[in-house]
Amino acid sequence: MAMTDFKIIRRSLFSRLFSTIITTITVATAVGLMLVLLTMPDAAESAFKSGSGNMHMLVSRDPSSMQSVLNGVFYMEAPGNSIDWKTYENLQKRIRILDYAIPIQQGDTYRGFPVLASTPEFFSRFKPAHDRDWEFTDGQPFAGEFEIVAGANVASALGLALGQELILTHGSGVSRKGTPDPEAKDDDEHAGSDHDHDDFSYTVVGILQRTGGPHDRAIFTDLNSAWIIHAHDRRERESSGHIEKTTIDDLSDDDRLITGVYLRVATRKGSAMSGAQQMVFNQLRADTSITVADPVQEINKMFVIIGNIDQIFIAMAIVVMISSGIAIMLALYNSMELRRRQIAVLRVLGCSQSRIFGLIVTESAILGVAGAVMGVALAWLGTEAVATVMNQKLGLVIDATLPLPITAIVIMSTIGLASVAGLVPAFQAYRTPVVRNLRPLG
Amino acid sequence: MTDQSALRIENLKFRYHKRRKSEPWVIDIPALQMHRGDQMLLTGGSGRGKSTLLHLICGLMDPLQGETYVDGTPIHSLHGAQRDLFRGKRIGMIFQSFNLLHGFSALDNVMAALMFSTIPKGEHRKRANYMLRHLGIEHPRRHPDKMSIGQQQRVAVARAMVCDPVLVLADEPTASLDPENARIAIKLIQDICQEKNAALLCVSHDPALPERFENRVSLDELAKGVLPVFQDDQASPPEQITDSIPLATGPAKEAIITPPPEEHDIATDGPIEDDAPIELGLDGDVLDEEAKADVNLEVKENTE
Repeated sequence: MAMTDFKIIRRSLFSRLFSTIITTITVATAVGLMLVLLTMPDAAESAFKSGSGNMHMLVSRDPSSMQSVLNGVFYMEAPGNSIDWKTYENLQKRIRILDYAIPIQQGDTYRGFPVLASTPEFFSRFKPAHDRDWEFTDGQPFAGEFEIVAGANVASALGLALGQELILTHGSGVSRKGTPDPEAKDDDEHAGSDHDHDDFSYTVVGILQRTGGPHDRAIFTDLNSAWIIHAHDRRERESSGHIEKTTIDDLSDDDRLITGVYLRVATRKGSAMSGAQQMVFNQLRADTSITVADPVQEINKMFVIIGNIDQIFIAMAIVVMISSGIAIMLALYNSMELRRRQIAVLRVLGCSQSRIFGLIVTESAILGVAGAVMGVALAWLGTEAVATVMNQKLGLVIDATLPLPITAIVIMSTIGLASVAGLVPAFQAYRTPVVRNLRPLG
Repeated sequence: MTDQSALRIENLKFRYHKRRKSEPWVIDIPALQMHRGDQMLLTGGSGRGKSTLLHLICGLMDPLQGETYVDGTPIHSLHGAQRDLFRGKRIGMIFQSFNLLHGFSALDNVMAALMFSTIPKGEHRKRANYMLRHLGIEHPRRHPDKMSIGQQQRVAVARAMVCDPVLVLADEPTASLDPENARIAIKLIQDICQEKNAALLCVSHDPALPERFENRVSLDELAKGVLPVFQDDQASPPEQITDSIPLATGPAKEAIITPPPEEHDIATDGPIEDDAPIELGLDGDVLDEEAKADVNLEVKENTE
């Protein structure tokens, strides 16, 4: 290969490899931080907002509205307090303009994934997003007892298939049992709060398509089954000897507990909102024994707080970005002292001042490009990490893809900044006195 | 009339402080002319302005008065990149400290000179390789830092010659060398300049050099208008030089401008052996494939 400008630049970058690596890492950190901070809040907000689907309100007995939404919609943790069935029936009777009032019960898990028990209305009336119905990759909604519908993430993570039998775990303890094994029973399994519901196995009857919301990492079953397995636990605790398998006939009123209600006020056809929402909201809030939350409002409140912090982080990222530009400038500026002779020789060989200037600016821009590429990789890792953590902790399915326009803008800005940072050393190189630097050393 | 001279100086005057008019001129040369193939030694004590004259000739410095014509082009009327490009194409420079590019191989150093020429990129490698081998560098890919001083000088000479300059300016080319290497180096420079039909202007205060040059003149003599007489001057004196200017001392020698055949190895002053030095390096190293390919190509061309 002939000698080229790029070869000269490459040699220069490699001759001070440590400085080049450190400078590139500095730029990459700034780019990565900037991309994550510019991308994640929007992705998170979008995931949060789409999570509540087409419900208007969530009723629970959680201590606060925010907690109610985080638990009831985003499966952050199992709600601590229950609502009895009569309260639910009264609510239905009191509010007559409801489109739906779907009872839900949470508390069980399957291998760490939350289980939501509800009525068939959950799939027929509640929508995971305003403009989207539930869609099944395989199978159908549960129709009877001990049938399971798996969210897309659960199904892919655990490799669930139709017809597979599962045993759920009470509480958030992680059951490792994929298939029923009645003989494998710990002696103290019912003594603590977390235990497997070994006596009842569920069959997978449906696998949902991905919705991009929190329900992708949940498992759905019918309310009766949830009541039966918990009633069975109660009966086991109450009796000293062996008991028959609990059926729906064994349920008492105390067994019929739910942890929340998804509410939607009747709207005009095609409309997402209803004018009566506020009225219903106020009417429900009058009952101090329950917590009524408007999920969208709660999410907005949360993002106002996050938004303020977010701006501070973005300001910090800009400072880091500018610092990385200064780092490039210093690295090149310091290298100039050692490169004066090289520049003088190149000039003698016929290299013009403007080409020398261009060489240094290009070298600076290349540092920017290297930093930007590494930064995008870091941002990709960062967003994946954040998405994974959010998914595990909050049930949010965040789209960790870096949006192309933002990524392109950040990359171009980085290269621009790096080029600007190269102007000072480039000007220094431009003005390198040739004759003085050709003199013999010493 | 077309100016055929490699170098022509007209009334060149320079002093370091432009405004101090009371200061004497550091450079004050009424006239000087060299044709292609001419070789001249410019002598003078340290700090007398010999290097400054070279820098003025190649356009790295500007005179306060006068003009320098290289290959007929007034170099100081060229500006910026134009002048740099012209220098790269027409003038080869050899320095006392060689000024090789640190961190680059000998081949890269020579190709660096070709970067700024109009020679097609595809020929750079072959041309640089040939020039280095022609000057006795068996391992063109070796870094000059790992070469002997004599070899580094050859790389510097190869770099100065690779673009086929009309004028070669050598600034104390033997100052860093021991007497034996100095003798070899100056012979190498003179021979390659003769082979390439380039004019050589060498400045030095090495006492051993004058015997190597038929034409020698000091800066003081030049200032007094003393001119060396080359064979071409006698045949066809330039119009600008007046008869009143006295001639330089020493007999003029007829320039031998018959380039040796391409197989001639200028480093050993003998024919290039077809086999041994090409396949193996000096220490018996087997050359890498790319170098072999280049050499094979050259051998093929030569045999054709």
